[in-house]
Amino acid sequence: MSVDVERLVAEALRGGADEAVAVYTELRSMKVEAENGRPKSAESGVRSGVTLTVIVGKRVASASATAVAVEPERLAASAVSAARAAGENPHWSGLPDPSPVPQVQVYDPEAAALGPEELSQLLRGMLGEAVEARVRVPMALVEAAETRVSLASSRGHSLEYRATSLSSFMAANAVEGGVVGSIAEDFYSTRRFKGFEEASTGLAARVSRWARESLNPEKVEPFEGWLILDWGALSYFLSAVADAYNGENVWMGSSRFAGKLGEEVAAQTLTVIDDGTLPWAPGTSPFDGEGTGRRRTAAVERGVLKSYIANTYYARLLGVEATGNSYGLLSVSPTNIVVEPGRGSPLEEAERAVYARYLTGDIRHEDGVVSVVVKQGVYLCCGDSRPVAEVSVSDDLYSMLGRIVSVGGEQGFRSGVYAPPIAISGVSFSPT
Amino acid sequence: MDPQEGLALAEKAVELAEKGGAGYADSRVEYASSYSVRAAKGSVEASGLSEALGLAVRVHLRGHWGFAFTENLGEAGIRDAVDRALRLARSISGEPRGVALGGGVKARFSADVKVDPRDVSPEEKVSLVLDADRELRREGIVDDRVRYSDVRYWKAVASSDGAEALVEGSRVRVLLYAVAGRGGVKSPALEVVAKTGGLEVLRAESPIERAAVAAERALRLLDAPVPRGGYETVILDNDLVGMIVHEAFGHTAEADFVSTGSILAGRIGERLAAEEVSIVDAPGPKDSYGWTPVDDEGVAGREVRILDHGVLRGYMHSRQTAAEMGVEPTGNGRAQDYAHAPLVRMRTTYMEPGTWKRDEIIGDTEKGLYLVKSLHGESDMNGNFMFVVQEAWEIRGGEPVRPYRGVTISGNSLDVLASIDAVGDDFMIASPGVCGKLQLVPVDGGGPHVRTRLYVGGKA
Repeated sequence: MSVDVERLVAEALRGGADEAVAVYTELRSMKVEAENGRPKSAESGVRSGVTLTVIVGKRVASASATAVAVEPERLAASAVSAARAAGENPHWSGLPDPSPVPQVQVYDPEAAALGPEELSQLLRGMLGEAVEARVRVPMALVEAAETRVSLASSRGHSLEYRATSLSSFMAANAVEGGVVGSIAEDFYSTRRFKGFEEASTGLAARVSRWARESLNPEKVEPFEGWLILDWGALSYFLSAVADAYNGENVWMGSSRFAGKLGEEVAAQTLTVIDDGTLPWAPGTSPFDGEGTGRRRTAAVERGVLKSYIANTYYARLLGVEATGNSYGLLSVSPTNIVVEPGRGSPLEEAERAVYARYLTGDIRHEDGVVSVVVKQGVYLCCGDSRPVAEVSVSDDLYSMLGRIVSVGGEQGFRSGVYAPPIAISGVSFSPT
Repeated sequence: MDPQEGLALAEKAVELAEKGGAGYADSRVEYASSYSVRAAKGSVEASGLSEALGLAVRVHLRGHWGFAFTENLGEAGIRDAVDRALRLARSISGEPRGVALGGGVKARFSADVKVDPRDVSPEEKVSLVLDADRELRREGIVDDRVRYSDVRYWKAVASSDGAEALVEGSRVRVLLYAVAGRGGVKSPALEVVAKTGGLEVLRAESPIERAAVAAERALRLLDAPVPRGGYETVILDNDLVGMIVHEAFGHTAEADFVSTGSILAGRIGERLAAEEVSIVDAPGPKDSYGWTPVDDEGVAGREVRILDHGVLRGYMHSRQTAAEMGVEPTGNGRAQDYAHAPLVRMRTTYMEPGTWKRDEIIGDTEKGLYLVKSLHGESDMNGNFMFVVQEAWEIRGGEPVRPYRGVTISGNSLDVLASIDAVGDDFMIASPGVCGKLQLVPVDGGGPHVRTRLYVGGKA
């Protein structure tokens, strides 16, 4: 069931709003799940809702409802009433004007046509990669979804798109002779079917192998060497970096990147791009939550801070351009984080290192505290590599960015992060 | 729609599913209405209202589960959801899964709500949020954010084994975040007030006072050093005990994880900790953020004594895991909302109090760290965990002498439990949060202060 977003905007203006934006989102999803290594359930549903945001003077409020329950006049009246009751936001400077919206590849009819039988077959393919007796699979799933979004505003926006998404997930652990290994997990997401099956079975094989390897890891004494982050660990590390160049945090005051545009903030080997237009990537869409076109934004280029990511609200406050990163009207969120491949081969170059597939702990953009444990790690030394027991790392995020000594040439992917392995020198490791 | 009408629709869905061939079915109709305000830098940024209503139906057919939901609660919408659930269950093949019957509850549960959030004007809530934000905005604080939300909800649950349950509740939550800064140095702090109940919650636990705590902590830690890492004697506050009990221990006692080889698998009856250590997962207390008097499978919530005086006694179960282990379900089958099927989840998980006074534990500690407030954490099926601690105090000769920042703790839950040598009498439910095991559900936890040994992360 669709909702006429333009009518909602008109109702809001008629009801006393000075500005209004309405967003309708419909999500059709289907999922098959396995538990304890066996198929368990299939699920489906349609979620559809609308959010109407109104501005009265400088007072901002929104009202949301499921589409089936929407009565345009009532929703508009609720939003206007909430705005009148809210305090004034002195920094509000108006909705954005319409801007060009890119053509992006986000809808795949083949993905949209998948039914429960096809998803079950994909799930069984994944489970087939984890049949070794020692390996248990607490959870695995395959999910397909189709999204429709339409947006209208009092500034003249009238936009819509539909997108597909496919995702797979598996968690596994290994048990042998009373020893329980640490849990390994990985997640894959794309907007098209092509390559999805191979990626999902590859994920399952990888997770199963990591789980097995964690059964008898080598314990190491404290040492200093390289920390090599693969795409799984890197997604955690880069999330904190993205928090630092997020315009919301910059303006609010928590980011140490405030006032540093044009300055060197990382080693020259590092280029980080926020790319909301990357073909078939999960963070890609034609426009963001306020109707601004997605784009490719170099946040850090050859180690220099080039841009913050921002919606219109924070862009105006910071005196920069909006980058198509609005999440709602007043929040900023990254899209796909891309690290440009380098020319290095961290795994071959390392003399003594820990190769990290997964990190747990804390990496804070505010004070730069890095206090993490490397899980599913591999110890590299003297041309040899062996699974390593958990080791801890305590360091400083901003110092680590300057100590990136090698960036690999081949990108991997996890959770919206496309990155090659990167190596950071001078890291101290301690057994936990 | 009122809750009683919702229950009639849930019963209708169950009846249709049974007619369609389901051996067992359950259904929920859920309604939620929420209000939120966010403020920063001395003014309101925005406020919001939202409403949602939907129906979920789950069928067990030839040993497999089919689940569907709909927001169209008309006759056609419900029939379509039931048909989809049946078709989906038929699409699954392989070894059948069990379902435990017989626990369906007929009852109506209401949260204790003295000041209904709906009866309080938005202006009053905005004023409260601005007062809290003002308290954060002290000299030296460079980032201040307050997030307020309240939700009124009801849920109707029906099942093939006779569940006809209604739950009416209300939750209130305020997040208070401050960052102190000087030059390039920053120091964050976070306080959370979250309870089941009405606005009276914020009279008992004032967000303004908690804002002061957050601001003072951020400022205090601005000049604090990061400690040297190592294996230490530590005193954990109520919040950290709640975090360890939930994340590091509780998840390993969830029966779906037990069945795939968690560290607690096959150890019922084994002594894992000292006599003084008991850990419980409970449907209440009624004001806890994780209050769940009946679960999303229609099973009445019962207390699970996981660790009883140091001995492992039980796991938490859904209908499926209970059937597979040959026990009764415990009321731990919970779902995020009508768009999700139930999983085994915790509710309010805590360590029971002991006999030590908090100050006795500190005074009795010659050298160690007093750890205050968790930020977040992760754990593993083998019991290994890592948590982020907001503030640590070095203890020398039984006295806290100086604060540290940037502290993490890690270890294995069973080692930590086995090392506990003092359990306080100052029991408190103090760890409200949202657990993210594939779905988001409100949980709570806590306990008394305890002393143990674990690895403290800091400088190498």
